[in-house]
Amino acid sequence: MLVVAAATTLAMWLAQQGAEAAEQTRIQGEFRSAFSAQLADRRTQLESLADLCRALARKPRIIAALEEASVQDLYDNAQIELQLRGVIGGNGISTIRTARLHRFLDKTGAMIAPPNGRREPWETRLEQDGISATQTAGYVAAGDGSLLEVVTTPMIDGDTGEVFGAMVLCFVPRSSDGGVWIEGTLHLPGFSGIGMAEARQAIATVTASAGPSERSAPLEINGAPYLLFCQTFDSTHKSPAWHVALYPLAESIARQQALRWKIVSVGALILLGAYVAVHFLTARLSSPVEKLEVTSEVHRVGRERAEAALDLTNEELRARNTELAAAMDKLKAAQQQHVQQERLRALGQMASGVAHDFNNALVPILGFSDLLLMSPETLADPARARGYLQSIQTAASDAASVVARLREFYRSSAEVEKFTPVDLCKLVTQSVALTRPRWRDQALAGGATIELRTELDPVALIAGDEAALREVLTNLIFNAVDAMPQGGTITLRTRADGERVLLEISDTGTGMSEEVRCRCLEPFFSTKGERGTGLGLSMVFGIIQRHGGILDLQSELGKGTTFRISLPPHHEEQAKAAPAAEIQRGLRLLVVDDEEPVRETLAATLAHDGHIVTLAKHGVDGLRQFMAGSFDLVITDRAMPGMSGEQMAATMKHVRPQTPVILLTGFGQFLEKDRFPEVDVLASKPVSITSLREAIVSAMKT
Amino acid sequence: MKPILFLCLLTATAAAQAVVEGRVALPEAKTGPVVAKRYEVVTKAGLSEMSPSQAVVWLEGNFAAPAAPPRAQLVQKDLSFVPALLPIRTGTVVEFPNQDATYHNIFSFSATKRFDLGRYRAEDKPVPTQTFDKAGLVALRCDIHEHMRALILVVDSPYFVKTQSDGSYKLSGLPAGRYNLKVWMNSKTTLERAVELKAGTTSRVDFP
Repeated sequence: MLVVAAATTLAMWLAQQGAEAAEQTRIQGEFRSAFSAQLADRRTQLESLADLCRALARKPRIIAALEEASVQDLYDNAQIELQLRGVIGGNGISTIRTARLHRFLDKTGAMIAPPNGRREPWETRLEQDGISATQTAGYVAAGDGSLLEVVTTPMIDGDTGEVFGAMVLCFVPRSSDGGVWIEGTLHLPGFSGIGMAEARQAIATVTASAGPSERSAPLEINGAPYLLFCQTFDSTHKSPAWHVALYPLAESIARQQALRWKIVSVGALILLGAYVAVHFLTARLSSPVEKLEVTSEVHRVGRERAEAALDLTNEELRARNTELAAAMDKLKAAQQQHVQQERLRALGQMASGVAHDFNNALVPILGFSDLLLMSPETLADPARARGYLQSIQTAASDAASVVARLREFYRSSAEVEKFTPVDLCKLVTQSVALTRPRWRDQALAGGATIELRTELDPVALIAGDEAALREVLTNLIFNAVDAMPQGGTITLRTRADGERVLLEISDTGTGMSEEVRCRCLEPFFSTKGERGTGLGLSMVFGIIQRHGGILDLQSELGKGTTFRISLPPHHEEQAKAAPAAEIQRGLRLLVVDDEEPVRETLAATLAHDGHIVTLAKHGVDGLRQFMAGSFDLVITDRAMPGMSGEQMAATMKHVRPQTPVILLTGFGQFLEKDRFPEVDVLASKPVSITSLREAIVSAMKT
Repeated sequence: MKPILFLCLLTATAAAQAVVEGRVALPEAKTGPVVAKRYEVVTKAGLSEMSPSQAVVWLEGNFAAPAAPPRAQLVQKDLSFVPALLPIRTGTVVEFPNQDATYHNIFSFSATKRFDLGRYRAEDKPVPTQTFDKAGLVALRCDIHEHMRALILVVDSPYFVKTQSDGSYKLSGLPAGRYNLKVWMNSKTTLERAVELKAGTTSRVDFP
């Protein structure tokens, strides 16, 4: 019983505490939202005042008077305009605020005295050091200790945007606007007398410390509790200014006390009732039940013991089983996760590799296109322009093959490397041309002169991936450039070494220490800090290995580095005669692509082959054109806003199933043709003229 | 801008006539922060001038008063004043016809001539006029359309002309004698130079 009583009391006490805390939070929240509402209302008021002032400051008569420096006209017309708007001498009915004073400042910020000469001493506080071009709002203490809201509006010349004066209007604050704490003075309408000093003291303390722009604090004035809210605002005054509001807490504290008593009395009542009820029930019911209990208990215990022994063994077996299964599952999951992580890590590495290669490919593209753009006279020299364009094209197709390599990641085992016969000397010449912007122009800009020498012995063809080998060369050339900040010579050599072919790249740069030399082929090892990915050489190494090559490097600090690459020659049987390219011509084609450059490029390429090309901007447009005309073949982009390429193709197939459709997609290499029953041929972007021709030929065969 | 040549050819009392021509070096077009370029009259730091720049050249001297007061027009059309710069002789009666389908309210606070025509429309007759008796510059505005501006330059001479856009000018039918040739550049700047005009000759005077 005692326990019950204690528990109830505790519960009551907790409930009371909770209710009190909730009440306190509620009161705080209520006052805070009241304060915010007040501030918002004040802001709206100020904005409408600001609008009014801006409109007044644009009145032609006021501007003309200020420009003519006619003080009488200035104040006369301002008086008329203000009266017209009810801002002064209003009938009291209008909702517009009353201006107590209007003044004008000249462009230096000095007061233009009104013609009647009657000035109040505090008016000088309205003057400014030069006029700001933006409207400002603030407060000024008038002579009688009251606070006026001041809106200073620059008068701006409509022609020149020049500020040539300002209009100052002083408004009487509304009593509903709450208080202001400014320059150590408290202006709090509806609050005066004895508590003022205490309030001032408290506000001074609360606003003195650094901290958030909105604060609240409880305080006591005349022994009565209050809640204080303050919020800073931008003011033209030098000392910080705060909006303040004081909310009396006496009422809510009384409410809280009442609540506390209510809870205590309810608790006591419950305790009393429970006590009586329990007493009554136990007296009536306990004795017969107790007798029965004793006999049945004996039987029950015996049976239960036997059952429990059986259950236990069963239960144990089942538990073991479940545990085993769970462990198995966990093991499987862990393994899967591990595989996944491994794959992700590899993907990450490859992604940075791809980015690296891409950047390398972009160097010549950007460099040569810059050259062409900056010196248009180059275009007059067709041979040079053609050379540049060829370099750009080579780099771009390299970039495309970088993307193509992503495929290898997905189908590493399924596909065999396609090696073609490669002329290493030609490759070196190409790479030198490709990297020219970097080793000549960029190095020159950096103040270094780099000489590049090629010593090319005619060598046998090798079997290889041309783009990959070009990457090797560009990477090694870039490394050489980076190693020679003071300039120097890069030498590229090819020569026969027995059956194999030797490629050498040496520089006269800084060279590598023994430690760097040992580690330089490791992935992510870089001496270039932020500029390097640490992947260049590791990739070079990888590519050489794929070609069955051997990489050897010699380096001496301060002397330079030489990379020597030995590659196996190409054997005739590796070569397969490529079938003569077949070209379809004169087809009526519908090309659908939402990107204009792609669309235009396709159109130009296809028109070159003598096709009649109709263009459509998106799926719906494509369908419209398709229905309107008759076409031999449709070529469409896959990802387009609205209707996707395959959706459009499906509709077209529904109408004219015999018209073949080629779907172009940036993800071509990762997607299975089977996923797109509605199209005939899947071609991957970017499409070259060759692959486009191939796609057209195979589509027309279907 | 279409150059408007305002040349007053009064019946010359002198039998022999002289001509002055030349060029006024106009300042370069303003490259400053012009908010709205459509305004032909700009006022900057209390300085009113034409944009693009335009000057008025006139011959200063004692000339016989005209038999009847000359008349001129300053039209309000397409919410602007045409012309934006109007040189007139003292005593000229200027009419201000409103050719827009809206009200205008022309006024001036200039010391040379203060007036306020109030609001009126195209239909309101008679067309308001003002007589400009005092030489000097009058800045005009419309109380309704804050961008509308015009300048009236009142000169004490029947011989005046606005320069072409390249600054060239020609004053003909001038009486022989010694005079001051003056150029109004803007509300603050006026140039002048003594000239001796001989009958039947053309003098060339360039400013500066």
